[in-house]
Amino acid sequence: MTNDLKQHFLTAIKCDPKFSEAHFQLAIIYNEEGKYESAEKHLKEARKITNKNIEEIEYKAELLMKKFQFQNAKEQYFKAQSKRKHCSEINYQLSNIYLINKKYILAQQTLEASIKLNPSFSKAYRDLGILFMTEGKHDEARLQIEKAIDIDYSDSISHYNLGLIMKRSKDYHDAEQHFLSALDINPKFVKCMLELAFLYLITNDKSNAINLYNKAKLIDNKVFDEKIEKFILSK
Amino acid sequence: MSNAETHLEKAIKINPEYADAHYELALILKDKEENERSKEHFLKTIELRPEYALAHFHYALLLKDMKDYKASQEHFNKAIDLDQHFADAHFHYGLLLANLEDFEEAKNNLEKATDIDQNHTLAYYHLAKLLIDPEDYEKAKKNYLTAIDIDENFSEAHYYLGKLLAGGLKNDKDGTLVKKPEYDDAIMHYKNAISINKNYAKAHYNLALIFKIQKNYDSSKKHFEKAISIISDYSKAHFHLAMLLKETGSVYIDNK
Repeated sequence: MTNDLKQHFLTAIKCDPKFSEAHFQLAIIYNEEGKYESAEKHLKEARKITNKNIEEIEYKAELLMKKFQFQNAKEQYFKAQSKRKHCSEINYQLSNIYLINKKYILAQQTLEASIKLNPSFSKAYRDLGILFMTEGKHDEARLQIEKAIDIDYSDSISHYNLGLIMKRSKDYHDAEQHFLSALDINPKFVKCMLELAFLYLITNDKSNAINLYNKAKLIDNKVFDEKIEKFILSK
Repeated sequence: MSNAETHLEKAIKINPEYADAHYELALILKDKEENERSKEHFLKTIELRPEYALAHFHYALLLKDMKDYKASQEHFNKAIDLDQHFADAHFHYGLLLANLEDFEEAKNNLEKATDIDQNHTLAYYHLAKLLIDPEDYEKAKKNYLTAIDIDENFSEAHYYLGKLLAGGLKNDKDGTLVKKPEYDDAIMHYKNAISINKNYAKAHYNLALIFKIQKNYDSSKKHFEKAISIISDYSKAHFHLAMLLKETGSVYIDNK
């Protein structure tokens, strides 16, 4: 079967090598195909072009301001803002590739760049928080994930990760609240069910722990948690 | 050398002060792109008949072609001073000013051309194209419609009116910037442009974009493909067709 989609993006780039959106979309396809080097190459190209575009648009907007064409200048500033958001998304996608390839410093840099370009991009805060968690920087992680939740309360992954941080710092009540929030948003979030079940074991709420564990097993019959299983068998 | 050119040169030889002969010869040489020789005869015409508006006008056009914009401006101004109702002088002066990015003066001159000659299709059209400020939305629309009213087969006017309507960026009554696209009318004008010129790739592309927004995916695909069949390296059409295929799940992504 032919790959029309990729071919059209490649043709778009061939006709216009400075077509940032086309590089970006092509990178997403390569990423889905596991071709990370190609994805990284196109994302970097998209970032370079978009940064230049932002500069050019802002320069144009300034010129329009000087000519007292305020409405047109405003339109250009909106355009620059939209390009910034696009560039933020490019950095975010790049960070995903760096995370997959365990290039953590680069991942952190691109996530920070993503946030700088679009300070209301909740996923970038969340992933930066998760990155800090893996590096053992729990206070910084908490700060970032709390920001992510402030922007997007409906992100179950942020709640789940904040729950993990709270659990680690033995703040069990808040941990439970965040796990419950995550499950409220995504009732089939098996990993979260297991964490909450384990939390209930810690807080001695054993019946809830068993109920939740069984519920997780109903959703995914491959679920197996040694500690919880041991506890159930010991009963 | 053409017959007319030979006769005019003979006439000038007999009477070097024959202004009309210099003028006609200058026009012929201008058409033949013998610019330097044309310039000599225009200058002689103007020297003999300084109040000759047409000579100043055509000389201004020649100077514009020769990229001597400052001198061209002077002679357009002179032509207009001599004949206040010279619509074409205002029109071409307006175009020159637009090229020189003096947009306000350009608009004034194009507007003047339409005031003088109310059937000046190109003046309405070019004026509309310069009215890009959202507060001029209605005015731009009116000018495109007037151009179309005079010449209904003016495909470019249909196309650019379509673009204006599809953008829909205008000022509300209280001056707030709003985006209210008029898709149905835009579609009509893009279709008109295409019915006049079937190979109008940009009209096909922009029509496809609207159909995509309206979730009329089959029509959108058809027009993107048509645009690409006309211009094979139409990058934006390739990109948006790919996005359309991606969004509608019409393609298979090879995972190999």
